[in-house]
Amino acid sequence: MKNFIKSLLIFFLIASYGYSQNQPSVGHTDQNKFRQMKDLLPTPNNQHTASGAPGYEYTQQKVDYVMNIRLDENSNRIYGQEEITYKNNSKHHLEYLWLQLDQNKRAANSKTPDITSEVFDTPMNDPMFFTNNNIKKPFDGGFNIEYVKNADGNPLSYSINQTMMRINLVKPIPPGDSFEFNIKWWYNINNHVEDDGRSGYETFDDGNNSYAIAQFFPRLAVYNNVEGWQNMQFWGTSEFALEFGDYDVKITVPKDHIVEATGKLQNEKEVLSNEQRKRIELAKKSFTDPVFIVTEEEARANEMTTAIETQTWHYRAKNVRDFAFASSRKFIWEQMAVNINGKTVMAVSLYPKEGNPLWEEHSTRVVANTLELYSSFTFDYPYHKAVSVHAAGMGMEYPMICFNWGRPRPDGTYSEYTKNSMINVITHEIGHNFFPMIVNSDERQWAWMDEGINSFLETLAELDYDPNFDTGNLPKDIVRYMAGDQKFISPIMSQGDYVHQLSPNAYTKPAAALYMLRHTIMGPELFDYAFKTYAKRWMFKHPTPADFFRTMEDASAMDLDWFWRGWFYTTDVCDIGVKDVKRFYLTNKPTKKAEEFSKNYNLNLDQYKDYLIFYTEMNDSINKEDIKKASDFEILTYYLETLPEEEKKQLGVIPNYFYQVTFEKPGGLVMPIIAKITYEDGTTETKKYPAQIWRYNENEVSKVIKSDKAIVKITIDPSQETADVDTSNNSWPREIKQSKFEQFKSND
Amino acid sequence: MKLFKIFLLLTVFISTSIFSQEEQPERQQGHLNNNKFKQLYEEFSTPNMFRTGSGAPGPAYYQQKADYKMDIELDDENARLYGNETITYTNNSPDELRYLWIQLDQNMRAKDSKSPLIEDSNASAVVKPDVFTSTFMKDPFDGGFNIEEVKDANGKDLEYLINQTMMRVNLPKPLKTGQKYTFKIKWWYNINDHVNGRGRSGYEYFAEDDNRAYVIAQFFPRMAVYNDVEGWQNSQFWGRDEFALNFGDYEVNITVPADHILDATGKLMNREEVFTKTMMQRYEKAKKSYDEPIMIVTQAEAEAAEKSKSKDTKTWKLYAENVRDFAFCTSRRFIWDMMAVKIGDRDVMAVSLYPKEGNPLWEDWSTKAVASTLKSYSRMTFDYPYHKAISVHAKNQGMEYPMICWNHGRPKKDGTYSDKVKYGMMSVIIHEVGHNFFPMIINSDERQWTWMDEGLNTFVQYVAEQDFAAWYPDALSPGDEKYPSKRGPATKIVPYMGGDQTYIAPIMTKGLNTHQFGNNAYGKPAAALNILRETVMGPELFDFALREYSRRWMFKHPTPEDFFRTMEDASAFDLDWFWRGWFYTTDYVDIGVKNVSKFYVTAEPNALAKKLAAQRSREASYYKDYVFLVDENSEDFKPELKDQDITQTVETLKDYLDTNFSDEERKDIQVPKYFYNITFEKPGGLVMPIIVEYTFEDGSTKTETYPAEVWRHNHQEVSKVLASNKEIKSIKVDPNLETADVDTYNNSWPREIKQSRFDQFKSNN
Repeated sequence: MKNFIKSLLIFFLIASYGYSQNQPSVGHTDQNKFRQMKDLLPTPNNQHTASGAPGYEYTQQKVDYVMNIRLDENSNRIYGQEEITYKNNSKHHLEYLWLQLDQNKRAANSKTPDITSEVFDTPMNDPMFFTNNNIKKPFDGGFNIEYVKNADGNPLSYSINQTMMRINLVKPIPPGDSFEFNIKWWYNINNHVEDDGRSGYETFDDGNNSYAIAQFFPRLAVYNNVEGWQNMQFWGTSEFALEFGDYDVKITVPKDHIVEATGKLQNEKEVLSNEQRKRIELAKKSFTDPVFIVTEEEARANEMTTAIETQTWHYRAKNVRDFAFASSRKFIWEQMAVNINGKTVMAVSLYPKEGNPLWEEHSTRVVANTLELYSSFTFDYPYHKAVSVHAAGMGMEYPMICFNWGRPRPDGTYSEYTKNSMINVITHEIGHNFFPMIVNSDERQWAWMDEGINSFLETLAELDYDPNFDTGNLPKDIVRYMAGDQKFISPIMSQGDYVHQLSPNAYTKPAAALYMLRHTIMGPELFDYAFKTYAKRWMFKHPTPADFFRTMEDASAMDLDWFWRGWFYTTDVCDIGVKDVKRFYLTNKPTKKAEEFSKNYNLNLDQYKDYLIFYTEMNDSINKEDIKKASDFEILTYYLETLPEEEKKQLGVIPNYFYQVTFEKPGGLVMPIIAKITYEDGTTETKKYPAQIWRYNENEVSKVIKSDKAIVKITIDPSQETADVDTSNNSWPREIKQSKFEQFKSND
Repeated sequence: MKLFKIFLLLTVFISTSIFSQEEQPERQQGHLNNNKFKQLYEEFSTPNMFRTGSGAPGPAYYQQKADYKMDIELDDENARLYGNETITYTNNSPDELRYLWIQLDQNMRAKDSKSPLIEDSNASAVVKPDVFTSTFMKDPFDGGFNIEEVKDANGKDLEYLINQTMMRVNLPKPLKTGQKYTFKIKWWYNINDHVNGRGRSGYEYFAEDDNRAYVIAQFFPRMAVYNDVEGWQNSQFWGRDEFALNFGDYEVNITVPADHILDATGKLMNREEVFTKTMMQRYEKAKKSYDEPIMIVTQAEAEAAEKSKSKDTKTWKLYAENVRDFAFCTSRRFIWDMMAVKIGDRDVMAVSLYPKEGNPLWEDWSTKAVASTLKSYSRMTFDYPYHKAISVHAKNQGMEYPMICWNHGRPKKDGTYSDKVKYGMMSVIIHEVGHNFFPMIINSDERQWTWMDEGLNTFVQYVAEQDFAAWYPDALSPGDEKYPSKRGPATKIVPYMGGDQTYIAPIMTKGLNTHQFGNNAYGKPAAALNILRETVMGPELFDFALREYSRRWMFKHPTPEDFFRTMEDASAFDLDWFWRGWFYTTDYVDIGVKNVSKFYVTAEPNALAKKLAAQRSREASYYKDYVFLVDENSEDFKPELKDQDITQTVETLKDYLDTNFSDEERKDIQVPKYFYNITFEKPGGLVMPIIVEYTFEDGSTKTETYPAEVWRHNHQEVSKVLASNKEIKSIKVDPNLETADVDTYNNSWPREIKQSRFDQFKSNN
């Protein structure tokens, strides 16, 4: 009997599907939000596997540099001579090599200004901006290539297209072979404070400069079997794609400068005093407090004079993807040891006195904290140091070294905002050592792969440094962006040069997405294992977006195609609400609905008299006295009594409250429904329905909630973990609607 | 990098966008990445071991080889062709093959051909009698292959199946990697009249002397291509989309009437048997004549030959290495001339064959056009690797084969000819001889991608035509300063691209499915590549990349991606936006000037500053340190702003310059008087560079090119600011009509009197 009724009900359900489909209409392709990403992801092959790992024929090129660099403080020029050894590990014959000449973005003939849209929408400039744009002769900061020669000293033919230089090889480099060549160049260093550069100099009131120098030498472009040569131009926004290699760099600077750079200092004895070297030894054993190598007092003394002689600092770095350095007579220098899983790494800071007292209080400690947290989520930090350099207005990352803002007022006071912003940028830029310096993704193509993933870990590191830290990267923080005008929003899977609002697009949104993936969708255990697997698989390699997406699924057994498709490939928003709640009562009187239903199938309800329990809404067709409690049904009581004792023990409280809750989803994203239910006695219960609940109908779904207590309130996403852009429909009964503006404000 | 400053700037921007959101009660739908600069990852196949991400053949690249030994006999009386062919197929693929596919192109003319069945036919009210007769009364011509036997090397019958124009030979045992398989086919078919049937091969019948001139091709069962891209390329030959063929070596003996003159793909191996002594002497002379063709068979000799018919036969023996096909022409009516041309350090023979009806046009220009073409194409790609290139005159034809092609261009009976006939003949010869490079050597799949040979070839044809006229100025008609190329220049494609979208398909469409095939697969890609070369990339970057593509895929099988990728890889020019727009859509170019406003500088806070101050409850003087720009048409404008030296009159600016600029530095500054805000609009779907010519009050001009990327944030409109010390009189977008802008009405500011579209198309042509 029981089974008969059940099959009847199922039949009814299916039949209603069939009938509603009576009008022939235009066909459609698979638009289901849960369809797999076969059409979006590249076909797996022997270099990038379907599991998201490097394939058995994965290769990458290696580029080694030997360079002599001279910084001329008087003319603000940098001169370089570099010897490049290019190792072709690919299975391809290379007919030419491409090098990146990033400084050409600042050349007098740069095309970057040509593609910049200009309007007098804000017809108001400060005089500096006005002068630089309209009156001053444009600064010429492009590379001057003096020669390109092969190992024998014969000139090589080359051609420069904007920021890319092609070297035309006389004969192709076969697989496995190396090619050695030399380039000599110089350029005018820019003032990075004026032009917002990623490298350059800052001039101080005392007349001294501090230099934060990067992208300063012709660097090989990446060659792989994803892009061929990644020779997309550097327009100024999308950053770099670089190969790993070994660096041997000698930097000649005024003798009174203090230098820090990528790599290990090779000639400590020549460039450092005995006292400084003693302090360094001390620092190597100081795990709790930084030790000054150059104190503020020493730096102040240093900046009073200017040395005429020069001094050469010699660095070597193995397996890095780039090289940068900082140099100034104004630098204070401190170091502290960090224990990374038994290995000592030095956390280092370099800053002019203008950074104090903020810098001596926080910089090195933030570096240490960042290395610890990132190592625990990925792999042990493999380099021997990480340096945070203070440069006004900058936040920019290089292997082992980065340039960070955060400057107190001249009187040494600073706002909470300045402090937090400085902690935030140091965490972020040091974190970049992991993404993309070691997990070496292609920044030119995919800003989110380093910025987004890094901002996510940065968030965890900041919360680790200070649990109340306002990271700005949590799901609630991305609501304003995602709810904004679609005209100015691009999917995360876009190239940075054409994206509006790059910061929320490539930093905050992916960070928030990964945060909710970890906390709300996968849970930390599954997420952390998969994330670590990704980091380890691609450590010192070049991953693509598909490698990340695939690894996260492969290592967790969570199908996340719906998540990547929605969050990364569209600009859809999350908006889930309660549309309707209906309470149902029990009765033994056949309801109108039941009668209609039985008529449709030629059933005689009288036959089943006393065998059926009917659900009904409270309405005109039902008398109050016909409403029964579950315990009033003899058939049910009888049935329960017949159960074996063992089963009886398993029974819960018999419910008398039946609610049909209809959830609506005006937003395009599918997401889990998190519903907090408050009962009449004040107790609460949170139900979480996986995103797959939307698989048949992405606009609305219903659930039946049974209870022995009355529900007084239902709240969707009570802890704001899904970035729901419109919370006005999140409560039942509806709360008084906030204006959208207030809602945005309250989300901040 | 941390985007600190940019973020601060953006907050102003974002908050305005949020405010505008306030006014829209409906939530907007999300969207995919629809940016015009989106990379082509989803459209392109993933690079692999066969084809690299740079667009080159990969380390595991392979191709099959098909060698043919054939004995061919022409039955001139019945116009039938008999053949006995031995094919040796080498499986270089890593795959095991259980069957082979062979192309039977002549089956398109079989009685049971399905080609007529897929044509749309409507009853027409007016019909010519010959068409009426052939359509409704005559028994259809049966020109299909008659396969007499398919046997293995030991003479054992092989199982086979014919599906329309494709024949599958079922192998007794699988053909493994590296193995060769030899088998034989014996066949015959009725040769069609190509003048009536519009075939790519066949005969032309000359009634007055009851002779035929044969141009014979697709005449033998040919191996289909097997590769990493399509598996077997066995897409049917419906009559339009041409061929996909393997490289191989050919040994062909052709038996024809003894008085026939024959030329074909390959080296003639028994010249002394088939040539007279006089012909041998003339041939030796031709090999040293670099300026003028030498007659091997003169018109007088040809005219004598057509008067009688030999009962004897002669066998011409030919051998060709590394060709993808084989074709020949034969007739007793042929005049034959040859000339040598230097390609690199090698001599190549430029050859022509034509009946007397082709003269005087053919003796004057055919061989020279061949020679000129070989030089131009060799410069643009690689040195022509074969030993000869032949142009054969066949009425109404324009069809290409390795080393040999058929071309139209016939004077009137009295020997006079129009410019149209002359230039048409030169163009078709340049085009068909050019096909030796695309697809005969750069062996793309014509069945799938017509544009890969026709489009690329038509583009190089344009370059070669211009060269030809430069090298042979006498070829031009009086009044012409350069060769009047029909395809290539941007303006030529405007009527097509601006036309009814119902009849336009993207270039990346199979030919069978496209309307306006000529514009689609020839004209548009040729114009696109010409624009790419001249306007977008510049010849230096373009030519290097095209040569690289040609070199990489010489004697190989490239795909569209291989071309697209190589062009970018070799130039550091991201062209995904160009390929996407020009090749994957039917969008067109339409860029114009929407609005020009003129601004002057003042230190007095303008309306915006006052508004901002009011919004933020501040005094307008809060912004006193700024420099303000006021629109000439705004309330803030005062006439005295017009003729001021802003470095003196604008206090805030003066102060800044005084504090920050030394006298030395001040020498280097320029002081603009006028500030223009120029808004460009783009009603067309294609993104393209904006080429603008500014004309100033003194008549001087300045041309700026803003790269296509200027549209990356906004596809519809974009503004630029121009600071100038001279007043602008007029602005013209695309002044030299080099972008195929379909509507030039909006190209000028101030607007010029509007031409009708019709006039505009006319004047563009």
